[in-house]
Amino acid sequence: MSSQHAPIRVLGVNVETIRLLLRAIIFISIAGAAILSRLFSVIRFESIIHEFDPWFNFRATKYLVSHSFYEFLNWFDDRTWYPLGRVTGGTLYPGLMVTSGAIWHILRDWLALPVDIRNICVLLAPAFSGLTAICTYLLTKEMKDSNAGLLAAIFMGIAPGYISRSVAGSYDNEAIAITLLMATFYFWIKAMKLGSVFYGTLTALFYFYMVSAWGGYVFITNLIPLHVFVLILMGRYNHRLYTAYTTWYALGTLASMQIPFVGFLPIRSNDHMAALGVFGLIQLVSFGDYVKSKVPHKQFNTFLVVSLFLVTVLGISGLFGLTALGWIAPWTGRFYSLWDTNYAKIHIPIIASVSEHQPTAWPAFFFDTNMLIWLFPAGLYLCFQELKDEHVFVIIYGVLCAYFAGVMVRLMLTLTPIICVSAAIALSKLLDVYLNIVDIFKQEVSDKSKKIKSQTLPIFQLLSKLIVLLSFAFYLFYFVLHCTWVTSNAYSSPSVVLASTNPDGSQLIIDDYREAYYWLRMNTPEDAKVMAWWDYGYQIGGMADRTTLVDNNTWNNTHIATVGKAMCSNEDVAYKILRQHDVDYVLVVFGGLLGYSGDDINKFLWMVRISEGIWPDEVHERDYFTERGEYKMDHEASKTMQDSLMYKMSYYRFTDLFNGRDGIDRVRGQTIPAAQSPELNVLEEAFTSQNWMIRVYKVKDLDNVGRDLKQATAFDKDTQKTTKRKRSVKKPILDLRE
Amino acid sequence: MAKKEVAIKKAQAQTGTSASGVSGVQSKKISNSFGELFAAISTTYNDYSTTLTPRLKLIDLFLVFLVALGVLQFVYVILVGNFPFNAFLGGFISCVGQFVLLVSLRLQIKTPERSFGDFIFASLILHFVVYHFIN
Amino acid sequence: MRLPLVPSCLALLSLVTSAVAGLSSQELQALVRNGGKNKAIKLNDDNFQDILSGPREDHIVVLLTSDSPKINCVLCKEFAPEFELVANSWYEDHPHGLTQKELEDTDRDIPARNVVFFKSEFSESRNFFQIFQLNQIPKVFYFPPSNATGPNSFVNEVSEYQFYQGDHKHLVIDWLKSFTGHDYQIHIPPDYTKIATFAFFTFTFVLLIRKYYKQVGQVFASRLLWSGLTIIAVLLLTSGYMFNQIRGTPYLREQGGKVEYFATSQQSQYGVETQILSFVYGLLSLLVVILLKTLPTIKSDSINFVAVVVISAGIFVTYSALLSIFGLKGSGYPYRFINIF
Repeated sequence: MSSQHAPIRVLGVNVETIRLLLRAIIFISIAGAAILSRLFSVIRFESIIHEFDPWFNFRATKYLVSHSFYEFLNWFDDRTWYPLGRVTGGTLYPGLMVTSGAIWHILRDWLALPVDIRNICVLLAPAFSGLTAICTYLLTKEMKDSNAGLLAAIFMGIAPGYISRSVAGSYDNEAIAITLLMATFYFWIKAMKLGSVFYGTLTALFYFYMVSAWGGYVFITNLIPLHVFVLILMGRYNHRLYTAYTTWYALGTLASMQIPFVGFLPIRSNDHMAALGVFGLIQLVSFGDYVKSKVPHKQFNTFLVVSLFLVTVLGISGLFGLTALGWIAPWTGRFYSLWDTNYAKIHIPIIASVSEHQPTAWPAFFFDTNMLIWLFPAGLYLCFQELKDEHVFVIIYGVLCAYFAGVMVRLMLTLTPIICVSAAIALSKLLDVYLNIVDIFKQEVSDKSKKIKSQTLPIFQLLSKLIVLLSFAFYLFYFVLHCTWVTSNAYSSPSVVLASTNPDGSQLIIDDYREAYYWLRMNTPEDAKVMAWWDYGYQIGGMADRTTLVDNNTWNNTHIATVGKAMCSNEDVAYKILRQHDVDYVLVVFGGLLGYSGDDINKFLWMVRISEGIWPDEVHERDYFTERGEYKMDHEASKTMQDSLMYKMSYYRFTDLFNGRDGIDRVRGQTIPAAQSPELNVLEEAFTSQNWMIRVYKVKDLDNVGRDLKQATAFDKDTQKTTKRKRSVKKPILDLRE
Repeated sequence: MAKKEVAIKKAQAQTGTSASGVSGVQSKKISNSFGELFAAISTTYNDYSTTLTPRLKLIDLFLVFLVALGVLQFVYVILVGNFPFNAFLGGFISCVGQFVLLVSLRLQIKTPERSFGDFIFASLILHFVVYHFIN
Repeated sequence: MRLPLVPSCLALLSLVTSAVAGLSSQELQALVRNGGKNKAIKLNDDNFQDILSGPREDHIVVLLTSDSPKINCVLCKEFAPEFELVANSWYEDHPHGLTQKELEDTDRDIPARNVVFFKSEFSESRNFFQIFQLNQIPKVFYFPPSNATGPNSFVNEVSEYQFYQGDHKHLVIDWLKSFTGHDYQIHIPPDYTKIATFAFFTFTFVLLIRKYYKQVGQVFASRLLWSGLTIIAVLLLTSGYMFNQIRGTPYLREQGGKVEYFATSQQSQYGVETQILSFVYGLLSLLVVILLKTLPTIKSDSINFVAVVVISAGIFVTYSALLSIFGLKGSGYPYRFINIF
């Protein structure tokens, strides 16, 4: 409309220019807010890589920047999964490392900025979150308009559901994957709307980038075909859809097979078959569409029925035939655990043991999205009202992801973007209606010219608009407060370094992990093998630079079960396993003194369960409970429990801290009787960190004189009695804030 | 397109022969519907040949060539085996990819410049990836 | 136990209680045959002395369990059907006990004897449970054939089944095999009623679709239906419906006469919370939709104003309630509008 008139000018500047300027400023502020809200951990602690998986990614990135790209792809890592090793180059998604490697090279070689690779890794996730906000803007703009886009961008920038995986230091695949997810969807919507081969190709390229970065690409592989399928069912097939989909599928599938880890999966695994099926279907539909445009209606109906029948029969028999022949892989375990929610619990303890695979209770949804969660259905309703092709996409995405997020906590991450988009649609619609005060005055002016009588201001209209606007401004303000609170309290802990408060309120940093890893690095031979539960594998590899038996990659269940068996068996059995695997040191995490609940004793049952899965005859979960079926460490603890290596390593000399009286385990709130203090024969204590969180034991060598290790220990003890030094143990005085 | 017409005709011929054994009324009904099917296809074909322009003809010839090439590769794999699986996949998918890109081009023939540019762009990427894939 | 106590069984029991010594193998078989469809016979305070006090000819397997809601034993409910399946399968293979030929088979390591399955419900067998001084159920006890006489002699002859992880049917069978030397087959009875209902519904469904083809098409194309379904699904899913399904959470909890509606942890919830929360979310969404769809169509300024005030107040109160509920879940959440709880 405005194009027909002369451009509106404000203070002599074209209004479009002002709009552009404003938009740019808003974008910069959004990106700034997104990045800054992710820096809590850097400010509170330091620029450090968080948690577990990021340590592996960091280590791989360091390898990439110190070696060539081809060496990286062919990397065989003999320092993990001892003695098996891991074909790391072929079993990782290289996108993340390549991205930060490229940034590092650009900064160093072109801009001559000698940045430490660690800082790039730490800050990569916040930087990409700014890009995510822009992609979300573009996507939402396609759904409604740029107003909704701006709202969606700011929601996306600060929604805790996304921040949870992208704070500074959380250098994980998801950090860039969500950006790519949004970009791929934006280009898909664009391609589908315009029917453009160009945008289809871009979709495929970003899809390729996504495949290289995150295993969650399967979500796109299934969502886009589903969207197309639903559109075809709704009778909305057109040439544009054909062009967009086939271009994306042909190029995207081919490109995705370039990633070594993915390989031939796209044509073999059933996860990808839906996309192939829809690809075939759309060829048939396009042919049918062509015929339909040429022949009379009735003839076409017969044609349709017959060909539909034939295609269905052929398709189903083909699928069964190929599966029976073993040409296409059976549905993978993680896939099952999404649909049949009991599958994982029964069949794969290793999946069930990961807390990220647990179902989501409602507080998590509210915690991660606050008010957006109740604007979400309203947005979906508005999408139904309009129901263009792209709105169908929002609806399908919303429902599917709501289901997935309900089944698995970690998929909250993929739900958050669509909640932001949908909520932004609802809220911007509301603002469109209530922010528009121009209409009132326009009406007023036209009224005035007719009747001079009605001179009163439209007070009611203005007031009602004001009420709505003020209340929603208030909610939005609260939303920002909520997001900041959640980010600062829940999502900004590196979990490598813990914070607690002294009695006087000052902050105390608990740095036991790094203390212990550094000890390992400095005091053990470089080829020492360290056995620990798989949670700590990546950290030991990254920080201590020592060979580990198992790590967070969890590709070999038997090997993990072996470690679990060593931990839960008695000393004799465990020693055999330790010797067989050349283990030099054993590391356990013990929170009993500090009250740190994520310690190995609390994870112990999973070790038992996983090893019971492999050795059902030798390990029985029931044996680790008391008579009454309770999980206890005090005097009631079962014999098997007290004999287990884990128990012994955790509570070895624990009661010495309490001057020979009963010790108190502060995690489980149980007393450990002094009389029950365990004796270790095959291991000797090598290092215990300041707060006793990490304890490292050295595996004893076979005895020189050929004695049993038990006798040897007993003998040593006797001789020591005469010349016993008093071991001074300092007890730290602090409380861990939980 | 041409390939599919042939394939569907073949399928009809097969089902047609197998259906002839069924009892009278039903077979009549079925043959009736098949008659209509043939009629539909012949109408389409006639319409197709009348609206054919040289440019479209070029595209269609290329399409037929691609289909033939794809079928040839498939037959080779069935007869000889799929040893360099990468190479087969690369070759086959380049056929399929080029085919769908061409069909897209054909559907967008109304805006030739833009769609041809897109087509070139996508084809270049396709063949670059194929080249990378077959090593 | 799903079946009510079969009267004929009771009558028989009252007849045999007068007997002093344990029941013979024939008597036990008769008991089983008259016991109705379920072959794990009831063992209670009235009959356990007769059956267990020696001498005994047969292998006797007893499941001690309870399905009373007061005890709320989850494992019992899981395990009892599997135990009954083993019992029923055994009797399907041996409807009249072992044949004479099998009984006289001398090649076996363990002499062939009949196996009799019993199930004992806690509320009916307090004395029996008392003898073993149980503080945990379920238990499966095995009593071998024995010549020992006297009341409660069986207490010392018992072997107990260990509840390990895995498929209990097969674990029980392996366990029994080690005592009795028999081979056990599992016969899962086909559920005819299920098949029949399924067939019936499919048939009716197809019939209805054929008949009301047009109407069905209209319903399927109905935007209202789909939007309703979608929004309800989303509301349920975002308020933890799947959590309840997977974890099997209780609907709510009663503690000391006080009903607890909200679990005080971020990581858990009760069934009723899903209902409350989906209602709250739905209400808020509905109010927003009214605010932006319905209200602008109201012509009169004053009515419009009143409606806006009412709806806005509604949103404010509901949202405050939501925040208060969230505050109840612990974690020291500091934000509230008005404190409702």
